[in-house]
Amino acid sequence: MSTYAKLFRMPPITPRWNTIKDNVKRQVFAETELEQRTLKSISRNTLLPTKVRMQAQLQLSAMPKLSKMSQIRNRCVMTGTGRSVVGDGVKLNRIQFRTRAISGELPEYKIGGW
Amino acid sequence: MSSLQKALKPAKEIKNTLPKLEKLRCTIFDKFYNPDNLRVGVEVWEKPLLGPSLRNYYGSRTNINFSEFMTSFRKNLEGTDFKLQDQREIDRLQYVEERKRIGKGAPKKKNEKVEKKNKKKK
Repeated sequence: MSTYAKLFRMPPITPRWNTIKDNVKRQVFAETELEQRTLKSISRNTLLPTKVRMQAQLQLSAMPKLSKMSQIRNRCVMTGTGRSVVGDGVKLNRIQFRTRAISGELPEYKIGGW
Repeated sequence: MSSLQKALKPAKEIKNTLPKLEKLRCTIFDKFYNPDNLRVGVEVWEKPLLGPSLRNYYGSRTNINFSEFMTSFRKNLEGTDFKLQDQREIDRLQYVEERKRIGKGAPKKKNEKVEKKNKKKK
């Protein structure tokens, strides 16, 4: 695994504490993904002896909580909120999304009227 | 049901009756040929790796440092005649030379063996 400083390095956005935390989780998961998958596939393999399978399962469960996929959550890039984040590709909270769409920063979207 | 639909068999029967076709299908779509349905932990690898797409959610500049970029840049220029001037290194060497001229350079290194012996005696 690389150094901790590399995991905390943020892209040029307004950094919030929640986004920094989530970014770290993403970096850790990306680096340990192969390891996790190999351990999982070994533990599911019925042809191997039970001792090996149990050891693989224990090693997987002993990995840090940060590196798990379930810890990752799509957050708003501007505010860092985890709730009501609009669809894929937008990465914004609904209020941020609305203000930006009205002002014309997102040319794909406009207010519906019928 | 039409006559054609009646003639066609369900997929499960085809798998059992035509093993060669199943084998060929697996080679084309990059799948593990498993006629006896053994549990070998292959289903873990069916998904593509998610890491590279998750890594760049907040932007793609997360893992590039300036110094790392320059080292990679210098590596590409190794064979060519083009040379980069490192102004910081030139300034540092000049500063060291000036210090040496006054008599304030780095001290000479002592022999470690001699020091250890003296300490033991005390």
